[in-house]
Amino acid sequence: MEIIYDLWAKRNPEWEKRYQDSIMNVFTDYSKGVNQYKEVRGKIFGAGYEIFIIAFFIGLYHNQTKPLVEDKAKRKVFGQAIMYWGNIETRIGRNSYGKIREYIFAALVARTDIDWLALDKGDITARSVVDALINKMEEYANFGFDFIQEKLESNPNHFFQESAFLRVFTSFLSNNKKEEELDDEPDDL
Amino acid sequence: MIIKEIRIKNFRSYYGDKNEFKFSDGLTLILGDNGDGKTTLFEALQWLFNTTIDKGNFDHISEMCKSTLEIGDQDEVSVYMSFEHDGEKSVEKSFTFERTGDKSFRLGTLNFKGYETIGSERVLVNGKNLLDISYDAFIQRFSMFKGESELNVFNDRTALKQLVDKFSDIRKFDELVDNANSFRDKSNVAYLKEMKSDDKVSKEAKSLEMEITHLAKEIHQTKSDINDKKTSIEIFSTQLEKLEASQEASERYKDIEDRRKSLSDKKVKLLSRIDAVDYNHSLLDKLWVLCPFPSIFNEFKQKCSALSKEKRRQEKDFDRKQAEEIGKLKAVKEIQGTLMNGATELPWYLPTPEVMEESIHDNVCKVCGRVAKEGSDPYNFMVMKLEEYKKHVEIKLKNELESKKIEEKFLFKNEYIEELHNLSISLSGSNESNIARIAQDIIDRRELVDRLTHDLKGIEEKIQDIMDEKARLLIQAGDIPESVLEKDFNDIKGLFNQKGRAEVRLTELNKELEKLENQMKDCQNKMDDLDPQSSKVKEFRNVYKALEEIANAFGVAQKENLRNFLVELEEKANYYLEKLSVNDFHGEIHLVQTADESTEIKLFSSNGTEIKKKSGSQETVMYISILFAISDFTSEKRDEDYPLIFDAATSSFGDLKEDDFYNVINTIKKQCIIVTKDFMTKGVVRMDDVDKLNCPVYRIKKDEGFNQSNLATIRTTVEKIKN
Repeated sequence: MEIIYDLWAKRNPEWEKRYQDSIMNVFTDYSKGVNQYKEVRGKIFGAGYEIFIIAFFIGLYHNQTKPLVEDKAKRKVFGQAIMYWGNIETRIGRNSYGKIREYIFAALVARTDIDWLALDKGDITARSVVDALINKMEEYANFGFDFIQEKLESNPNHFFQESAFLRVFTSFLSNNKKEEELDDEPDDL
Repeated sequence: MIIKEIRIKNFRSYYGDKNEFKFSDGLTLILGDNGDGKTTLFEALQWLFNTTIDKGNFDHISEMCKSTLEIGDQDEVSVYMSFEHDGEKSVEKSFTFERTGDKSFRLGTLNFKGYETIGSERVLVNGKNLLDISYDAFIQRFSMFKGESELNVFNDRTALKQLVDKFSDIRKFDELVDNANSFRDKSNVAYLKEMKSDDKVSKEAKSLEMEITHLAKEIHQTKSDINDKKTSIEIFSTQLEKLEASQEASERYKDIEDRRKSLSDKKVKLLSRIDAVDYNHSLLDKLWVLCPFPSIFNEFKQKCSALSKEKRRQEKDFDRKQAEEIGKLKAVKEIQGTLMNGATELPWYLPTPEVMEESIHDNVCKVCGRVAKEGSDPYNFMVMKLEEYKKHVEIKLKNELESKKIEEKFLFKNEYIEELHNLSISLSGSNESNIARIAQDIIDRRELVDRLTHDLKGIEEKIQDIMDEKARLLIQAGDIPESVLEKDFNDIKGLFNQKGRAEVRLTELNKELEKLENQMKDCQNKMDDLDPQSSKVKEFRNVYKALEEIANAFGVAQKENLRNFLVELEEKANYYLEKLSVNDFHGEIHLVQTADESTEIKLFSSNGTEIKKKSGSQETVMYISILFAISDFTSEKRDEDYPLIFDAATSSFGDLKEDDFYNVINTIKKQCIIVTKDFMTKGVVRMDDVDKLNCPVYRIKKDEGFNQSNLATIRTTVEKIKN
């Protein structure tokens, strides 16, 4: 029996193509080779999946999902399966953060409606369970992308304020509810 | 030249033709506040005295005058001066201008008229020529000064040479010295020529001449080396003096720089600490994105725990059911046992099947020893017992198989829930508390950044203060360039070393020179000792010797003369210095000749210490004294006088000294025109102080009612406030 985490980690989640220009290329080095780093320096994130992770958590904390477009042709996957996410970051000053995969997995387990007992009894297949997990993951991230896109539409520079992304997440902290309201204020740093 | 009167018409702020100044032979003071027209007056005179100008200048026309002209109207700009110089004379420079349009004017040609009184007649002459004769550009240079900085006329190293050329008899000597040298050289050539042609001494004479020529070259070279060394020693000394004078400033500068550097370092460190954490990268690298995660982890944990519990419950339930079924099987056997006949009997496994089979075979009960014939009850009992045994064994075997079958049944085939549970456990404990701490970490970090940013702001303010302090210091230090201040005092050490080496070399060169000169003397003596055959040679020699003596004498006299001139100038300067300083400390002026034949002015205390850090007023008084001394020379040597005109030259004086100073100047028989803002407090003349003066005083000021932003409303008025 292969463990379910590994089955999940071997997968490549899908995301909607339309976010490539508006988000992926804006914040990440997505589709750029390592040797092209010079021209992409200055992007907030490195690999494309990094913004996917950010988007995923945005959806997760909002507890909101958004189904992806039906048309498979309008979806894309990353070059790297989940199992490699956060392992290597070639940029100076970055650290690996592979541990985050376990938390994503844990969150998916917590939030996905799966009959784990049936799985253990052999009544359903592991594959169907992983499908459900990946689906949930994609839908959370899709909501996150939508969220980011909306912010960018009202202010294209919004996320270039140093703590803009951080504020999105701290706004979910119970004692920090007001932060999100302030996020269009100029950064005082 | 003594200036009698000056009239200014339509020159910049001097609108109209009512601007007249009449001057005494001594001091005339002209008082004015900032913007009242002091500098304009000075510049009007400069314009008049400048004989190189031949065109009118549009900028010189009074704006007020321009504004009053209608198209077609014309007026003129003029500056007139009457003066005494071998009789009464006057010059007037003027040009006309005509309004030709709203903003256009046409300038007329420049007129420069001069008037001389010849006999009893007033004759028109060329003003340019008249001025060049009476008050030439060279004298102007030692006579008109704008501000303190122009006072140090000897900052220009050629000034003294020019002064000497102009005012001393030394140059008359130059010709004599040149002639004497030329005679000496010619006679020497003739003498040597004769020597070489003399049969008796020709050979020796030739070799001696060669040696003398060679030595002369070496001596010349050594002298030039010595001069070079002296010049460099002077340069080092000057630099050292500058550095020493600025030592205090330099030390303060260094202190400021040190503080600035340490603050800048702090700033850089703070900036790097502020920038040390990239908020975006930290979301991933430091898992900050998990700051709201604890509640979700809780969901996960609870779900895993519940699943695990449920699974175990179901498993237990399942196990219990299994056990029940197995129990049931066992219970069936029990019931069978009791149904046999109710009486207590031996266990089913006693007697053993072997004993029973043997008893049946032998027709004897081997347990009790009684005979049991085939077909008899005991016999049948034994057969039944054996069958029962076999049946029992068979049932047992069957039950056991069944139990085994039951036992082999599982509810759960997979252990995914256990996997989840394990993950939940591994993410609990220290991992869980790490995640829970992220929110606090972020708050801490942001508070730290806030604090650091606040500190940074403070440091930036301090740096600004220091920069201001530095700017103030640089202003106070005056003309000391920042680069000089910046130099470490190691530089002074370096300069001392260089100066020391140059001095050692100078001593060596002097020794070499002495040696060469001795050798030269020897050669010349040897030459003189030669006893030529021809008596003609001896005559030539005597002529040469005599001319050489004369040339030397003139050379010495020339040097002596320059020295005397400087001593005289120095004496006169010190005379004025003492007078002008009244009761204040004044020191002694020394005019020091430098290696490159220029002169430096130095102030010494009577105990021989040089005063390097002169106060502003000390410096002003010192230079004015020298200027008075130079002016004395002009009247003595050239039998002519000229005025000294200062524009605000004495603003370095405090209120305490000014009336003393001006009264002293007035007692000196010298025409002085001083334009100053002394005797003024907040734009008002202190008449009490002015009354203490015994010289004529003029007040120039802006006419009231001017518009602060319109130049055309500004007009200078001239009023004599004291006769």
